[in-house]
Amino acid sequence: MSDSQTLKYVHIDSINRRAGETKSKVTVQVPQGLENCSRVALKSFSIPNTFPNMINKKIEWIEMVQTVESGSNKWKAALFTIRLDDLNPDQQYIDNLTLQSVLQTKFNNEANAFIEKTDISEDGLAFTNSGQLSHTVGTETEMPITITYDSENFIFKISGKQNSATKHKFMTNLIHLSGRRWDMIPKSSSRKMKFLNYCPNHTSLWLIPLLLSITITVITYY
Amino acid sequence: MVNSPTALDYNNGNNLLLKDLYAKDMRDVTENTQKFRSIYAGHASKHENHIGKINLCSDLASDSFIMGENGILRKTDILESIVNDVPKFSYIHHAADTLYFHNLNRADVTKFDLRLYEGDDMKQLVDEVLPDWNAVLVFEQNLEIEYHKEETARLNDYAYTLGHPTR
Repeated sequence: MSDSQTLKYVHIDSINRRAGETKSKVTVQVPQGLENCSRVALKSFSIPNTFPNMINKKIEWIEMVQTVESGSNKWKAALFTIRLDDLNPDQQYIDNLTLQSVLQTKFNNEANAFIEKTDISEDGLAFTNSGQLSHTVGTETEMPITITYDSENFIFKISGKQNSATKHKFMTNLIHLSGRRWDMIPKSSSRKMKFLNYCPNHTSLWLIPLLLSITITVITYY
Repeated sequence: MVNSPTALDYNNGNNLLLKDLYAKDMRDVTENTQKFRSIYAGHASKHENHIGKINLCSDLASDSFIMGENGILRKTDILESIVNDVPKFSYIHHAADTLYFHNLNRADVTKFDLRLYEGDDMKQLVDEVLPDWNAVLVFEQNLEIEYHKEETARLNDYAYTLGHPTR
């Protein structure tokens, strides 16, 4: 016996998928069967480039405040979350400038943005969840956060500024290991710094190993 | 000078909240100099065209490998990576001039699945807003040709006759 090859072309349209299936996972039934097949390849593929960029997005950051100079319970910290998937359906895709505006609006609480706050005890083991309309830790004044976007270089920047009598205050990125990345504001060249570049802080550089799990902002997928 | 809230380190904590988080880009926001209390993006934003390629996967073939964390290859079932090199709101049309065949993991195909993932991190595309798509697959099928002893002998006789004409 000997073999001879022939090619069979299978045209697939996801609109004809089985009921209950999703477009991202389609099962194809072959009632007549394709027998004695050895290889398969993709000949062509077409899809509209209309993917949204605001689905399942959120901002998470930690603020940590030194409330007194010495003594116990010097530090108060909280994790804040703002969800960004509560936009109108026609805002499932937005450009960079609109994103900057949306983020700033959320941080300014102009849209009564609901901020989920999780207070963290000093030992880091106790968490208390609450909802509020501001991001304050302890009794401090709410810290202004400014989002800027350089439309010539397409670069985002996030700045915080606390002018109160706070002794020290830190913010940091939070990265979801499970979420992998946030590509709204791009990842940096460093693999772990998905979000923004690391820029050494000349005053607090020595604190970084100690406070690695504290401080500002990331927007990430789940 | 400053006591560290050491238990906030998720590596040491056993709480669920921080176990899958890590933090970067710490800033002292009491700084006067703006650049020291700011976080800058590493490069241009790709927010506006965030899906660079789509991986079409199938249970038909599992002879592909992809580099995972720490440079370690792992086996995948990617059938093809489709590059998104078109402007937003236009069509992605992938047409292969050269077919990249994958060896099937079974000879008789009665059912198979096709799955779409984002190319960068293999996240499944969000179905609620995913448009419908179509594709053409090529299966290479081996047709068996049977040769019988009698038929072979007859063909040999015929060939001998052609090669040795008697008149």
